[in-house]
Amino acid sequence: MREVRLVNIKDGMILAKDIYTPKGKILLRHGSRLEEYKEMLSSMNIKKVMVFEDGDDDIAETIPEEERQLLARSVIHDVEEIFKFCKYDTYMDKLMDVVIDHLIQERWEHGETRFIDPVEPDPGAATGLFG
Amino acid sequence: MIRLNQIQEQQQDYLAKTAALIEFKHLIRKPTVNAVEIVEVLEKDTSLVAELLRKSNSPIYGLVKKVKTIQQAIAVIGLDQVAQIFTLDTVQKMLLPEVPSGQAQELWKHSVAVAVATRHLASLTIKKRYWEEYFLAGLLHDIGKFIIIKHLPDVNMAIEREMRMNPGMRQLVAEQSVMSMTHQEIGAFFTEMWNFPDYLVSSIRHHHFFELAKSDKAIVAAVTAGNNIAKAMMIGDSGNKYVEPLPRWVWQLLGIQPKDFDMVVRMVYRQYNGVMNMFDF
Repeated sequence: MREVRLVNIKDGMILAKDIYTPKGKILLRHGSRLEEYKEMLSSMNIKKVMVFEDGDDDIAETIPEEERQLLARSVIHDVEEIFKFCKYDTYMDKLMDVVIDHLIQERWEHGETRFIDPVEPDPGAATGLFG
Repeated sequence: MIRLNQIQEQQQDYLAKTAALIEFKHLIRKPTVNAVEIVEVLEKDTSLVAELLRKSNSPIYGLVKKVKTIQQAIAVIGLDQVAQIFTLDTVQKMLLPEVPSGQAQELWKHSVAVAVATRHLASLTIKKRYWEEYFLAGLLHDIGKFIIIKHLPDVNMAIEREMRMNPGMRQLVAEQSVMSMTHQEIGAFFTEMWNFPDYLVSSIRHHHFFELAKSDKAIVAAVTAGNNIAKAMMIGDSGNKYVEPLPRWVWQLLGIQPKDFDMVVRMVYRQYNGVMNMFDF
């Protein structure tokens, strides 16, 4: 991300850090499209904002490998199911890869590894809630 | 075959809201916008004006002075933001029941995600003054499903039952089997009757069969692609989770290369969260 003067805001720029009022209330949340708020920010005498850049990764945290593998297993299962009618297509293959990375990151943020059973199921064992 | 005229009797509410929305969209598309004309259109719906002022005075804007009129709202938070509040409020009130079910809420989230994705795709190749039309087309593409949920609960249940009994069945097939038509046709039937602009009717009618669109191909392609991106990202639930294969020319028409998906997915996610945070749905 980088700092940009309000006068240099261009269409499509996205706010990377929340903006607060002097009293500590949130004025504008990150993720907002800045061209829509230029006038409002100017009227609030705000001169500079942080914006996302093309190469930015939203999540700075690195996922521990073990948890990444757990998440990847569940995400790939879900994504392969919804993409099952889109095989052997360059565009859809790439979209699928991107979505898998995105969902791993998103589910990590929401602490979803807690709900994934790390033990591989035993094919011989009884299945179902009531065994 | 379902009786669509049963729904026609309840359409006054839709008509009142859509007339102002369509007129407003037409106005803001003009290269030079006259604020007086905009105020005249917005003031036709007093409940929407109240909501617009309430949102303009939300702490999120941190305004020192209270906004009391639409002119002030436009001056302070800007026309783009007023347009977005107006569009989302109008469409939300039009489509969602007063106490929306979980299914309706998930469909709404999906619709907002498709709107954001469609507008983002437009922003890559289309002039800015058309972006909000793409947003609206994405937001309304599943209006037929909202009509089914709101006015045809028995049909809605039968479609769900059909899909439950046939795992993997596409929703369009289940709809066809239950009511001999699809949500695309229901949506197009009503929006055509309500004199929606052609580009909206076309994107509602053809968002699963975009190759049949005779006009407005770019916007139909953007809605189709936006619909699939939102489904791929699993935002909300349209009732049909499967991503549909799209021919290469659709992506090419939109100026998208496979390497662009990384940025597209990231931008859609950010913008979707921005909208949902702002409007507290």
